[in-house]
Amino acid sequence: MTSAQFQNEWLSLSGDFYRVAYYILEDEAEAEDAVQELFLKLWSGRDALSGIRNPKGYGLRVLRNLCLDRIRRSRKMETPAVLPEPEWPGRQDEAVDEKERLAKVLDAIKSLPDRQREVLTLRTLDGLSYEEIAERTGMNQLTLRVLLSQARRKIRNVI
Amino acid sequence: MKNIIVFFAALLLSLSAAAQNGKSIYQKYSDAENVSAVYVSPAMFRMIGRIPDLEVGEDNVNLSPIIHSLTGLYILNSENASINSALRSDAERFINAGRYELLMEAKDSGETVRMYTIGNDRTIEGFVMLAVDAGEVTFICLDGQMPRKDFEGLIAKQMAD
Amino acid sequence: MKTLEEIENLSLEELEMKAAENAAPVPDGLERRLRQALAARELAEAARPRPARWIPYASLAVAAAAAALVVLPQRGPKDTFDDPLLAYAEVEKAFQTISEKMAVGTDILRDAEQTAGMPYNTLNKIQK
Repeated sequence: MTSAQFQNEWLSLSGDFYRVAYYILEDEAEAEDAVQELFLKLWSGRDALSGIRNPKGYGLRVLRNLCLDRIRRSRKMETPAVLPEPEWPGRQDEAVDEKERLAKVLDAIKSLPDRQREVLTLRTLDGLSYEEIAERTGMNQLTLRVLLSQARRKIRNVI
Repeated sequence: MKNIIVFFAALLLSLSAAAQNGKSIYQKYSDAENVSAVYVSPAMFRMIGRIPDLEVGEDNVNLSPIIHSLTGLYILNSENASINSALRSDAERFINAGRYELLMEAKDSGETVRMYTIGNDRTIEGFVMLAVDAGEVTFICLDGQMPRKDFEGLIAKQMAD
Repeated sequence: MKTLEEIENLSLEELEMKAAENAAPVPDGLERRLRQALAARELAEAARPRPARWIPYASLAVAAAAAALVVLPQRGPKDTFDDPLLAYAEVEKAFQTISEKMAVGTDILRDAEQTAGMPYNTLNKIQK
């Protein structure tokens, strides 16, 4: 499944997912966190998702389980263990390192200036060419390359 | 023994670091064997600036504002294996000692190319390109007061073709 | 936070219905932030541990020796060309070289990034 297909199929459901997460967790930040967790999971396994006929149903099932995990964790008053569910076997060993790296990268992205973040997302996630990004943003290509180079450098420095 | 060399080298490197700039690098290597060297002085750039109809190129690429703002061009192209790594490390020291910002970097077929600029929002005061291949090092250094927009436009336009 | 029992007793359809009835407002920019998170995942996955760098002691020594000789006063070098037209041709050539190399770099970038999950070998030098 390509990035564009994934985003078309799943991103539009994010509002529905959020409302369910909020209904269960009753907290905005927790709910958004749960939805993010859901999407990262779906994204990692997106190659296997093409055959799913009811994306919303599938997503809700995964989301509910993620939310139930959060309830369990908060009941036990533990620091949340950050291992993902074993639905995609083979990834558990690297899971902790990966989670940490992801968190660092995400923080770094959030702290980027708007333009750098925008260009980086269009390039990394959507795989747009420079012409396409230039058209969308109105920036010239050299500026884009510079912004991208700067953004990447900042991300690399965190990892 | 190796440690002594390294220490001595590091000491000398730090002492001579201040001396590095495009001009000194050029002077150091331009006479070496298998090195092609080009230098265009501020005076020559002024003469170039007086040539009429400079900007009429193939796609009307307007070099004129940039030419008029350049004060120096140094090009070193070395195929001399025994000096290549020294040239490269001199160039890298010079780049690091100044406040050059990495503009882009790419590796292709064994060649690493890096480009740097120094300046502010409106003006590019210096540009350096360093290309390193197995047997070849190319160092291009431009000094001037280039309007950033013109520099960007020029490069982007030539790339779009 | 609801209890485990409350949620476990609901079917997925019921859960969805109740959430819709609840109609919590979806935060602004949720999709944008999700896209950022996915981009972060892509970048994080592309990161690889870097091999230790081999320091070329030999060339350090050469550089040191060469540096030791460089105590030259800054006499200007001589213009390579006497003719401004020839000089200008060289300037044009230099710009041509620069933009060719820049174009190569961006082609590589485009190719590499269109392959999902490929390490970003082209832009991976750590800035000191």
